[in-house]
Amino acid sequence: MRRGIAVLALGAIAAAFLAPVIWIALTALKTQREALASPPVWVFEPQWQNFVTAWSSNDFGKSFIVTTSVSVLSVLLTMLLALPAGYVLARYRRGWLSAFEVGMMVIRMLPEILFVLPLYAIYQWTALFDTQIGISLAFQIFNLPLAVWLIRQFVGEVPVDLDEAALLDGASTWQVLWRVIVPTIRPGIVAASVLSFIGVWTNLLLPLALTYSETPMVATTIANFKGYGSFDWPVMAAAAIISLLPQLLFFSIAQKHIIKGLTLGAVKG
Amino acid sequence: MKRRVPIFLLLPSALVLGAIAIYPVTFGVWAGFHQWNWAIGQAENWQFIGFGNYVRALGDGAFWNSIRVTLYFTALAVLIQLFVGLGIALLLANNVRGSWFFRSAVVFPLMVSDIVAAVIFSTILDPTLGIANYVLGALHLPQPNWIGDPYLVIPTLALVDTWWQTGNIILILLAGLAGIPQDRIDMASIDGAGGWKMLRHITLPALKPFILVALVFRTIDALRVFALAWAITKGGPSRASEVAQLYLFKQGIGQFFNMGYAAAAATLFALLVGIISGVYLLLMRRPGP
Repeated sequence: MRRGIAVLALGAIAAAFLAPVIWIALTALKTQREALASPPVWVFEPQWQNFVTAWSSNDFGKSFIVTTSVSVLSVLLTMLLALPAGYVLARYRRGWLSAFEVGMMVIRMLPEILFVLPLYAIYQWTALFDTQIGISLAFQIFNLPLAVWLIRQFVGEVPVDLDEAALLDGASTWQVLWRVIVPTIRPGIVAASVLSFIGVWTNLLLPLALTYSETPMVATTIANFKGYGSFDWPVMAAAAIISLLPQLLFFSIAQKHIIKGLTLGAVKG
Repeated sequence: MKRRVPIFLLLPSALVLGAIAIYPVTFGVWAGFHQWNWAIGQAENWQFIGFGNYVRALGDGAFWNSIRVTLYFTALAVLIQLFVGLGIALLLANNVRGSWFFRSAVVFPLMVSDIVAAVIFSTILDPTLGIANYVLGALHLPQPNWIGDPYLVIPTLALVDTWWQTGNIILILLAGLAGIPQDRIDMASIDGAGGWKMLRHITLPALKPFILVALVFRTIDALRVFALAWAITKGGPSRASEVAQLYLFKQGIGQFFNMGYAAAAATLFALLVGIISGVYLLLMRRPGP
């Protein structure tokens, strides 16, 4: 009886959480007239060409490709930096290492605008403005501390004996990291990579401040669909749906890792 | 045995964060002491004015308005999300059939980008064309002007944020619930505790540290709200939803290019965020029961 009520309540809650996205997906398949109709139209002929229109408007298609490229570049950089750093923080205890760790947490907590205002000027001076390298570097501000923290937690679960044995066999610290640790903490690497990847696709302020027309990012091109007086709801909705696909893909294949990463990112502090 | 710390493994991360985070912030704080207007892409007119920008920010009604709006939004959003999140986490902890699906459904919005969340809800909440007011009208309920009413706009944004971010709280609380030893629950139920009593005396005390963690993370995140206000309301009506990051963005690179002033005001806002986080950290340090 109690379980029955719980299932009913959970069903209603799940429906409420999914409804906005389902509604926008339906909107993406309507004509503008149907999308604005009141009462809402439930039976209509799907307008698949809205997706084509969205792809070719406002630089959206280009921005999708650029964002894909930036996210790959940015995540590679994050992981290359975070694996060695997380390993050191997990295996060595020093006062200054703890200070380093706390410093990274503080960086992660600060508001984006504090970094973005000066970076805008610095990027203009150094020609990093509106480049893939520039925006990929900027994402490190928030993705690197999170990834280091996650890697550190996962390495902490690997017994130290494993390192010791390899070191006794004459391996260097570098070799221990890549040959012993990295293969053992693969789930942690997946979690940290996927969360960093999602971090790139879900932030507006960094691309809005640090990129323009050469390196358009999805977050800013979607905003442009809304920029004009009477905008085309179905096309904008189609763009929103397309921009959701990368995260949906990762969510469906790596949900377990995402949830572990999100939980570990907060708990254990 | 105390081995030497392999600094070369740490150095790349330190260098990148130094260049991309610490150097800009330091430069920004320094810029805050200058009259500096980035007009038409020119970096001239850089002049030291001491605390001039800080004095101006502290005397500026619009700056204080943005702080007030941000705090109001944060308090409201985090409070709603904590109650909603606790309720959903307790339901999910029952492990009914299909829990997996229900959990995915409530965590899913975390995958949605801030701007897409804003786009979705600006169509749904459109006062005349949106589905929300159509449904309310069909039920003969009042049809509020969600984003046009200065008293309603922040609660509206808090609700959107609830849809978007409650999954975080649910995951943290589920981790806490999974950690409550079963024998403690069994003992309590033998003693005749059920429902509310169990919640008050066993579950909530055990969850306290997790609730605090969830509060800290959500508060710090909610203080940084930007895209929802920027895209749904543009800070309006008037300045009723001009949150801190939106105000600072407009003062800086978004509209006025008063870089020195914006940098100083951003420093003040970051200090406020730092103080709030510090208070939370002190609360968490205090040993629980």
